[in-house]
Amino acid sequence: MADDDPFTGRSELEEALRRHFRDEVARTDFQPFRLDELQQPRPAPVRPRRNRWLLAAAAGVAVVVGATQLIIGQLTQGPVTAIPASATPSAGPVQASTAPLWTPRLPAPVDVERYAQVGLNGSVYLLAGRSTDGTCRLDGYRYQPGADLWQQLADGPARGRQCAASYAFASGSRIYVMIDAGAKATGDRMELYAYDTVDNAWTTFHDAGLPDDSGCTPVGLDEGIFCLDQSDEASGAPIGYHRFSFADRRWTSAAVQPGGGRTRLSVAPLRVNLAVGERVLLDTRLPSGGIVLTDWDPATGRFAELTEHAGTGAELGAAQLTADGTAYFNPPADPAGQGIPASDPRATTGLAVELGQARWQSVVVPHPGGPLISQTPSDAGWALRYYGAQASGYVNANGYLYRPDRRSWLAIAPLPAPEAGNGRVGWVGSALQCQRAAPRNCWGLSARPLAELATPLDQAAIEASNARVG
Amino acid sequence: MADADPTPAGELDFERFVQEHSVGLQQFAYLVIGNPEDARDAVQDALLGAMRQWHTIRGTGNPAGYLRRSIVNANVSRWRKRRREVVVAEVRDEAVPSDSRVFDSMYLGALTGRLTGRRRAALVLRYWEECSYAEIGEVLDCTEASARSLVHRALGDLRREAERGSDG
Repeated sequence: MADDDPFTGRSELEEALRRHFRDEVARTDFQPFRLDELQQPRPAPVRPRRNRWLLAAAAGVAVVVGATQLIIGQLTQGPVTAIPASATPSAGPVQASTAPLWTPRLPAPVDVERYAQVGLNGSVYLLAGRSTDGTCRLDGYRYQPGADLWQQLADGPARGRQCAASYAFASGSRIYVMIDAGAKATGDRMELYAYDTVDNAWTTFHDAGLPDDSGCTPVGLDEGIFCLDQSDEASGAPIGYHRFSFADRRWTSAAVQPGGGRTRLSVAPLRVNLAVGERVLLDTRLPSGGIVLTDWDPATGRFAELTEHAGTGAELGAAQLTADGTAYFNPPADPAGQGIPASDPRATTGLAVELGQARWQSVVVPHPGGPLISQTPSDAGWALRYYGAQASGYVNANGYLYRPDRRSWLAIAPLPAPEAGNGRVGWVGSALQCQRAAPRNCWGLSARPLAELATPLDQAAIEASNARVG
Repeated sequence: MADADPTPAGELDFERFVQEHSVGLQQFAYLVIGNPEDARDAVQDALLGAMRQWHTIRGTGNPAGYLRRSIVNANVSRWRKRRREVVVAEVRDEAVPSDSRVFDSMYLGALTGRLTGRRRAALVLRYWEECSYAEIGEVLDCTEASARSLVHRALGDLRREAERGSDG
């Protein structure tokens, strides 16, 4: 290193880091790309069930498109088959139609993973794209499922500067887009724009930096934005957060200590609607597997601990929220990765809590990949949290939908398998990426109404199936 | 492809760059992102984009730095989308002696995994790529002073976590 360094550059920690990086790289076996290989579709990777970092289920933005659910995913070239009647353990609705369950729709005009994605009023919006060279564009597209139509939105203010990411959320008829425009000497630069879906026009809402360069996780609210710092999560120390008020058009900062000083494993903010109004929910996990839920009131700016639970002894998935204020926690997506055998109850037990009542219930989950839905592996990525207007109270768990207030389950017909040679399946609002090597966009798929796709399950069938799989 | 260099010399030049640098870029991406498949995808993305603008990128004099920036930006974007990540260490069968935790690669992996994308990228650039702070600033699109601050804050985070771990 040519430049002068106040640190010696040779401290024990720095040497350990060098060794660590060398060790990590030594475990890989990367090969050089060939030019012809760069533009060819890659074979779908065999994803190891243990990753270096365990991922909780995504809590992405739902796409509500009326009575049918839109999923932008891979186009299948083969016939799509319904669930065989023999695999249905209970007397569910009889599927009278023989038409395919999933039908292809128009492909997206751009690479969806380069855009922020929002569902609003039955349409899907892709906003604020990023070019392959990292420069930001304020442009966008809207998809209307009923018409199977993509439309280009009006362009926003010219940028062209490099940026790292964008996050979008809807409030009323507007979609707000936060853009991380890269670090400056005084801290990260977070720009805020608003796209009005009625006027088809952009507004430069705010152009100012956040006070810290650590970055933060944003949550959009009706009155503004709540942004929780990413630093100091895994500790018991206070965590910084920032609040932007649409009315005042300025950021303010403060700190919170979820868990009351206990060492935490992680904290994640979520938007939730309770009977008392809109709140930010902090989902705090403890090393023991315990869960602490805290809410923040935008009106008063105050935090209050709602409830906590010792957990199931396993590290549960991220909280999923229903419209009526229930939080659901999946069992681990990879129990073996936590040393939990398939036969262990912790592998198939989740939790649900009615936030307003602080009433918890344990939930036995159908075993992913079990005979109930043999074609839907647990890592198929069912990131759908709402299934149209018909299923607004459901949460998803490994290819099934669960309704906490009725303790009822549905098994959902599986998505078509991806085309050979293509990458992972993804859809608007989830953390998965839709990948095709060329062109890099996604094909759209839509489903028939929920009643035709879903098979009710009963508890006895779930437990019997789990016993067979375990 | 408005900016591509269509000449055979240009294509040969890009091909040679890919041959010489794509493994190193994948290794860099792996250390920043943490997953080999995602790392490979990120580099493929970055190279595809670079191919279309190779003439301009080559003219910067530091195409590898340009590509590292693309990879880091893509990872920060991925981090924000996956803000539900719960970062934990892989479970080991044997116990780790507490007095050697700071030096244990697995433990360091857990600690660095908890850093933000930018701080982790700063550490990789400094202690794997052996970049100067000016070079780190070019990749992370910040001043040299900010780059220095990022590295020092990241080291501070690691030291604090290691101290908490030995106290616990």
